Amino acid sequence: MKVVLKDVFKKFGEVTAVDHVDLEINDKEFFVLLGPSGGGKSTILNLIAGLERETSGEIYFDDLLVNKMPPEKRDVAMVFQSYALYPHMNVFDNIAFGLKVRKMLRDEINKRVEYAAGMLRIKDLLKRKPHELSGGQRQRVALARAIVRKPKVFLLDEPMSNVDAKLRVPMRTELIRLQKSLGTTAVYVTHDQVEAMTMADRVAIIDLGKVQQVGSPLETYLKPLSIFVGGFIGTPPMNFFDCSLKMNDGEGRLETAMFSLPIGADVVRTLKERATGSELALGVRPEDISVYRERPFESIEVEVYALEPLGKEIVVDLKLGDEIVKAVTDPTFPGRMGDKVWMTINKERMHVFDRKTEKCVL
Amino acid sequence: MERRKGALLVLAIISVIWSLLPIYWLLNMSFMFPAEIFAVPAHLFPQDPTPNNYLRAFGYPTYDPKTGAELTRGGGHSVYITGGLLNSFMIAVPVTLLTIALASPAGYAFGRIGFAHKNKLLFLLIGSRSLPPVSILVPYFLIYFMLGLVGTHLGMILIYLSITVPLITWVLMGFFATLPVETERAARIDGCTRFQAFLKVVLPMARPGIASCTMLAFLISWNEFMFAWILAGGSPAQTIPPALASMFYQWAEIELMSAANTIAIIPPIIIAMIFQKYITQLRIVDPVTVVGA
Repeated sequence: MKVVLKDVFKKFGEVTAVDHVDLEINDKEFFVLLGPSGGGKSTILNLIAGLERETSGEIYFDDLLVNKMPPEKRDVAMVFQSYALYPHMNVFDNIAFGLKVRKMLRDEINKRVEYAAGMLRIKDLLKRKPHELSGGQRQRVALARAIVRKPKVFLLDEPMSNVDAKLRVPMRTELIRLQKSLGTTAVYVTHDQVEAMTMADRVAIIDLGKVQQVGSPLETYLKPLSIFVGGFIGTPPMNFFDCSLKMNDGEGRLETAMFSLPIGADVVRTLKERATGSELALGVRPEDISVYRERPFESIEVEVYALEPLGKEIVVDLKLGDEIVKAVTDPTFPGRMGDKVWMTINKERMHVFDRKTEKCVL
Repeated sequence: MERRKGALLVLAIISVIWSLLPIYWLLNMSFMFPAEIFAVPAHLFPQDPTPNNYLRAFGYPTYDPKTGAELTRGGGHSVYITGGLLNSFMIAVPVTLLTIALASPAGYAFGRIGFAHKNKLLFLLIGSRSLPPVSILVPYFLIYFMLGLVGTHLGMILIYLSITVPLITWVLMGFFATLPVETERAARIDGCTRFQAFLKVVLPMARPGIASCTMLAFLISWNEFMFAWILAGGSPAQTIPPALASMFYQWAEIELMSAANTIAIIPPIIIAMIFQKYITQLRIVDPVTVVGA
């Protein structure tokens, strides 16, 4: 089933939580709402579930307007951050609850619970109470409770945040396989960009109640449309340098406080066309910065400030004036703290943003 | 650490003795013959325990255990004691049930739902309990007199509801507010209307809170004296506290009063014991979020 949000707006008292959001979530899609805490993504999920009412705007399930429909009629399933299992019921009753409320026949209930419990490998836990389960087991029960109803859409609100770090990675793949095999649309809320990158068919980056960008995880990584998205997606985060466009004998340069980067004529043309003023920000990912011991062409002199070896690569913190620039290099990098080195920027993959509008201009 | 534990234990023992000592003395005297009550030094245990006082309280004749001679005839004040017990049950049980039935949804509404003028209503609710009861006794008596409610069971039930419902609503409000919202939301998503979610998920989660409130409501209506004395004292609807108090007016028979008082505290003790089991199960409130967090 398709879920469509049209100009959805939600205020809590004087606070705007969701600011005119338009989203189109496709059938069978694993759609991730990604953003920092308090950005409004859980509110969007609650609006889809009907647990909150929008101040204005429209929500459609396929072509059906569901604004006035209470949550019990919407036929969605939700997995909560706390799992929200019913503490007074055992695992079987927790999973069966939604079916019993809908007055399903006992045989059918047994069959369905059996199937869901089998899928999540919790058949041996059916008689236990929630407080006798581990975090991972509770999560499985919550997921079984969601899939047993065969709902139109799964809503998942940070379901991984209470699971042990070790269990998260296998659970991610298991969750995707589950969703794909059931073929049910899923909306997944997280603040963890690694989860979003690894799980999403498409991701919407949400901040300050607004949709900052929608696209495939790779798109948001390669073509961030705003400073926020550029800084939010990718670890370590993108480096930003305040700069302005300077012309010198017909040659364009990006001037920062510490260095000046010559750019091609086509780049100059694009920047002139799209930027609103002269205040720009140059965005460069750590993996697009190369570090050299010998001075190469068009390089910037920096000092090694710190090294963070990660095994397959090293994150090098470089001191440029008062600022720290992060670069990723191969693990054989021989530099030591305090060494004088040179860095170059991969101009093919640099991003330029307009400081005023915060939008991408290159 | 060990020393601190020891000190706590001593304090606990002192507080238990402090609260149980009068009850022990009541019990002690209730099994004595009249003469032994005034023994100097006082006896810590009845030297010749007798059930006579209990038999008298329930209206049976009593006999001297040695000679077999009749000591007291049956009847007497016992009608007030047994009648008082019966009336107390007839009033406290419906009050308790109605209180829980009314205060649970009210407490839920105050604890969970935002609605217009909530704070003003809450202020009225709690404010109604902050008046000294004696200050509204006279108006109540006049109103009750005009309505023909003086000395009736219905009148007593109504007056006790006016005490218990606000109080229990207030207590339950706090309790409902602490229950995890997400569990209730899960029930909505699972197909419950708000009311079904309240009945099937919120109320069972609130069981320990409701158990303690049930006990509280019962104890309030069982023990209340002032309204019972003024509005039902000496009437066919007289509850046990004024019935016990009326024993002072006659020849004060301490051993009989002790027995009657002991009988009167048995039902609250039984209620407390039944619900104690639920109260100690408090972790059922919210194992998932509390333990999981």
